[in-house]
Amino acid sequence: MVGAGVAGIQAALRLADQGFTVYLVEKNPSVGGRVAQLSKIYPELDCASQTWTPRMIEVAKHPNIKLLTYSEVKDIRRQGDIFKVKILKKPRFVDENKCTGCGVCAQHCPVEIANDFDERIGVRNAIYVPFPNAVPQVYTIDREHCLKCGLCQNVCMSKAVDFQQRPETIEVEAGAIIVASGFNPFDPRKHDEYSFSRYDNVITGLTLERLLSLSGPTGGHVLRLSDGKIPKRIAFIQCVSPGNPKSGKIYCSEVCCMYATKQAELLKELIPDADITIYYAEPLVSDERFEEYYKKAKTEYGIKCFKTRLTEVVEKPTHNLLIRAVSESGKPIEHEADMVILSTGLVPSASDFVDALRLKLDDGGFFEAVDSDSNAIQTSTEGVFVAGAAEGPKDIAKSVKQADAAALKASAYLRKLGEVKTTPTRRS
Amino acid sequence: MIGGLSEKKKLAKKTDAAIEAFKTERLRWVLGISQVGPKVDEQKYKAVSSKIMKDEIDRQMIIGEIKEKGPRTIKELSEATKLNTKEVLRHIIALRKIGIVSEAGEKEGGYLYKASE
Repeated sequence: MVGAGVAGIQAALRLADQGFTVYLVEKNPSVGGRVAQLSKIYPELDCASQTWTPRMIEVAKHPNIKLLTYSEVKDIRRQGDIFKVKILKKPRFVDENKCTGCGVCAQHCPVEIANDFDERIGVRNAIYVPFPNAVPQVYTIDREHCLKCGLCQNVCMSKAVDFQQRPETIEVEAGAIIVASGFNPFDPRKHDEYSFSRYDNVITGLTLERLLSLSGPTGGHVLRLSDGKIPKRIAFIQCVSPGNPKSGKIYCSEVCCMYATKQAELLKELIPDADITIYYAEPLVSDERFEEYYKKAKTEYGIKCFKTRLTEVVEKPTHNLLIRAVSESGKPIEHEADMVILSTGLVPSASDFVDALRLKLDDGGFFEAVDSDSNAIQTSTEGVFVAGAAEGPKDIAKSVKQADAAALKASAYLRKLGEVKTTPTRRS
Repeated sequence: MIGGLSEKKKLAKKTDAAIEAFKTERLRWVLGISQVGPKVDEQKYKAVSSKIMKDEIDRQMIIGEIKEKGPRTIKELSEATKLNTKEVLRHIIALRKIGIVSEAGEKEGGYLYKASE
């Protein structure tokens, strides 16, 4: 199983429960993937952390799951019916078996840097867990920023800090592979007409998630990064996605309309007198699951939606932003906002084993599915399945459903191969 | 004369902040590291230690201001410390993480920050 985000966790638990041994490989120090960064999940507005932390803990505890975090799948070769998988276990410089996650090391670490997990709003030390509920609760030393001062080593009661650790290559054999490597948010610097790189108050949807998150760097208080003011006029810009926005996108990321609507509602609850506008160029995604949701946003929350062609965003000396656009009837519009949120789309996360397995990718760079039915989980290589956003942009509910289907197909495939030893377990 | 007095007062505040900063464990550790031995990466240490020293003094100015005058907004802290608002926010986020400050309501369109108990 490549990747331990929602799809990877879901499929791993399904297969492990049936008694298959699952190697769950995650490149980051913690499992959870993108969902760990989110505040609330639409449409029910469940707390992302409350929903997913128990499942993250389950994969770590499951007797049939061998969890390899801070590890990357470097190569996969087919040999007859089996796959030989080369996994690089990156050195944490902290012994996973000894670290208790007490955090005394981080309290003593003098180095402080921007935390990528918090979209660089929050800070972390050179020895760190990316977020409080990280699984496993094991610290990692970021050697790029570490001074090698040894304070963490001196204060660690379990003697877990080990500067001598080296990268380790692990080889495992697998009957089937499920790729659940997820997505990255599109980097809006790639076409910068909305001035994301220049202005502090132009932020991405994911940064807003960190601001909205109760365990985030501001404890759920949304403020402007330029001056800490509470934004009263907030504008969302949709379809900040790969491809030239003026000539059209390569593909629709499917989730941005809904997450922007959700964020607009959460903001309205947090800042009741906020004036919120969503600017979109193309029709909002029509998904019967969410018709009511859009309606409620407009009627109950008073969120305004405008179809416009955006031209630019410029900053005033007050750090307020001027949004310039052209309306449907061709009239130029100028709107001042305190904060602009770019609803960035989803792009595929890179993998090292695509060529070795001769996996086909689609135009957007996602793994192409070749199923004859509507499941979209069978890749161009037999025995290799795909689930979640690795196959194409999709939300959490759809990723989980696809992961269930992938586990089912992988299980059927493995049973057909025969001679698999399974030890089914029942989880409490 | 009055201007001179307030300048003196500001300087005194900064000196106080520096004294407090040097009392903090973080700064004492950092200054102690240079004597720890050959393991320390000398170049990185020089760059990082001066940044830490400045950060700690700035943070003590912020904490001093909050302790003296009660809950303050980012804007008020920026005016009192002469640090820009973006810098003050960065320090508040760091101090918040280690439980030194926390939110205490709103004032004039910004959050107020108090010293945590």
